[in-house]
Amino acid sequence: MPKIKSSRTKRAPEGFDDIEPTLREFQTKMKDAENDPHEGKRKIEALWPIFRLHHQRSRYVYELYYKREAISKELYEYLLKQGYADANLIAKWKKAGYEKVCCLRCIQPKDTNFGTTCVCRVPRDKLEDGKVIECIHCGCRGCSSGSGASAGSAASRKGKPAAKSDDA
Amino acid sequence: MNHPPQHHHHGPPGLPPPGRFPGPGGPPPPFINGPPPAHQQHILGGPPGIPPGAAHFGAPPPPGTFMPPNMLPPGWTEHKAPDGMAYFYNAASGQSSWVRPTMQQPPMPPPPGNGIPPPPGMAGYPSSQQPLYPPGLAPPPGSVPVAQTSIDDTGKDKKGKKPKKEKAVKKTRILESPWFIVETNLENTFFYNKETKVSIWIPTPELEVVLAKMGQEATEKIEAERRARDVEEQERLQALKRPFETDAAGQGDGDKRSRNDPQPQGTEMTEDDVAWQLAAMEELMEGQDQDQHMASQDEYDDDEDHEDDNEVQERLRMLQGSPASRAAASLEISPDNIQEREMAFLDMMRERGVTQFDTIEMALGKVERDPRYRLIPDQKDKAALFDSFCVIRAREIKNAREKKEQQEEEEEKEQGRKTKDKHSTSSSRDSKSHTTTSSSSSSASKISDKPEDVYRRLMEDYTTKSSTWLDFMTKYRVDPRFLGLKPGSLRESIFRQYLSDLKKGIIQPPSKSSSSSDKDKRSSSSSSHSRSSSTKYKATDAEIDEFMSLLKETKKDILYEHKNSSSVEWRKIKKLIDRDRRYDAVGSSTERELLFRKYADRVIQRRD
Repeated sequence: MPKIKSSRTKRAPEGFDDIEPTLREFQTKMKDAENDPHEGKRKIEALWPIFRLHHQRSRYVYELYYKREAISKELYEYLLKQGYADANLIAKWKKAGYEKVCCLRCIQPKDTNFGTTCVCRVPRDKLEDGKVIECIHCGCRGCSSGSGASAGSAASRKGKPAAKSDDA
Repeated sequence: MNHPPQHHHHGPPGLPPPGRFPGPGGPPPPFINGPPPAHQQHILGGPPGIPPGAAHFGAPPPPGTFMPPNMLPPGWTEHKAPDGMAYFYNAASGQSSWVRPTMQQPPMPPPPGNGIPPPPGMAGYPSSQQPLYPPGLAPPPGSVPVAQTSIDDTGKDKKGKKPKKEKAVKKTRILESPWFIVETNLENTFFYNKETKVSIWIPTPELEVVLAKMGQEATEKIEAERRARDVEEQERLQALKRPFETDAAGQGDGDKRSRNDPQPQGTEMTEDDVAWQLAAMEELMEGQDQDQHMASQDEYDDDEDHEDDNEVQERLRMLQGSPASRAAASLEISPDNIQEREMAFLDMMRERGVTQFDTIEMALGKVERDPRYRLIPDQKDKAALFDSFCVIRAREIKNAREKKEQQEEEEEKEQGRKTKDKHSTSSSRDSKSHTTTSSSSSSASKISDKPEDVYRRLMEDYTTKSSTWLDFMTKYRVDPRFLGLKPGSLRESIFRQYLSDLKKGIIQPPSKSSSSSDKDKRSSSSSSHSRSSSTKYKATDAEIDEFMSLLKETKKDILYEHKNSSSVEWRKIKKLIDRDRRYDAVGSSTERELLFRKYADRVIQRRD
């Protein structure tokens, strides 16, 4: 994770200071998630917050550049290079039908027994009602574009409720 | 049991000696039954030990706080370093760590409220073992640097902070008691008894009671205000409803409605609005009581507002369902105009300082206290509005910045700066810093300090169409102007770019260069003495055109020549035109001849 700033790394382009506090917050949350004890959780469940935060952070950068056009191309590429966002995940978000994909594992057919995508990719209306799915890879509860999910919903739906309780 | 607050240093064993401010992490509380046991695990500030990064600030917890979701193991407190990162400090062991400590054993059950001594190393109450403070002042600032320097050898990184003089900013009297709540400029809040001249961080049980009473009165006041406001809104709502009631049909009668309606109406009513209206009318028919009931329920919800998830509350409102309650919350703006609601929502975001860099949770957090927040009930719509707001904001800011830059540029032009600076590519890439640097360097001699511009000027001075990178580099690599441009790979690429531009004629060589001197030379000497090494010179289109125009004038001569002798000799034609200025347009003599040949052939063919 090349996020450590040394004397060799290039200076951040202008505009970095505006987003720096949010990025910092993501970093601390990620650290907390990494250092969480594994008590009371399943083996896979312990990884879900990591995936969720990764999605959230990449989503933030993606939205800043593509949706809100709040940062420059230079800064965006700098962020990608420094590992503040996942370029491959963002590449998926640019495709039709994959706008809200939760993580790269869930669309990898090699990871499933039948060579399909993960269950979280199934749209909500195709899934029988009442069943709350949490996919095994990342704890996602539905990331198809038409599943009524809004931006960051994979974040807000996955795992425990998000930033609010953390910030309390 | 009730310890008098003075005897702070009777703590459990294993504590740092008294009188040492801030006392790493602070010792455990002298009294246990005072604040509710939840405090012991509470994430709080209060002058802690020195973090892996110095400095402190703190506030004693307000009475009656709730248990935070992520509990620290006993002994740990969370603090904030000056660079913004949160760190954790263990009072007993003196450890400070960037990593959140996890619970090794299940947390202690809260001890009952009588004098059971707290387990050792309990989460720190800020320095209850501090000596008495002078009246009205927080712990003396003088001891802060002492503590800092003495703990300096924990080996962690420290950022020394100059101790600010702590001064009381606000004193609020607790009703009918000698106690005050004092707030200082270093964001500390403590309780001070004017009579006994005691300052403590944590209120005594009796003080707690008084505080509770004070809190109650405050909430009652707020509630009374809310009630009054709600009543007002009800009345306004009825005023709205009344004109509608008279017109039973109501559909599509937006005009009539808008005439009667004192508030601004934007567009005509849509079907949704109509349905809403009918529903509202029904509601009203059912009676005032219903509305009152709703209003009182709203109040009740709002009291819990602080603690409930705002989303849940929203849904509650929705479930309660009546548009009347929604209308009650929408204040002056008439609820059936969606555009107005959206505009109000956007204005609210703007006022509350929502930036385009916020995540949606941050944005909603900033805004949720505002009454206009409830204008848009749907969470998805809120998100969509927030996104569009961000786009608008980003564009606004960009436009504002561009305008400012344009103004600055114009100012520079007036000051008579050379246009060369503006042509340099750095102005397009980094216009902000460029304008600031050029505006800062005011003297005429230093027009541009940027190493790239300096390098460029060096290039322009010493490069002609026939230069090569190799020659240029070997000649000037010791020149400070050359070396000024830092990444070495850039130098060659800029040079090559410049050279190709020169050759193509995109950039005219600066006036100092050889062309004018050549012209002078040529006029004195023979005509054929043009720039040598003609192979390097490929004339630009413009130059060719000039030469062609000259040639066209020789058309007659060509034809004449052709008539007399079958071949037209360049030599002869040349003599006619070589005095002309346009003759020099094309640099290379071979090229001139080529062009002439082509032209002559064409002329002859056409004639034939």
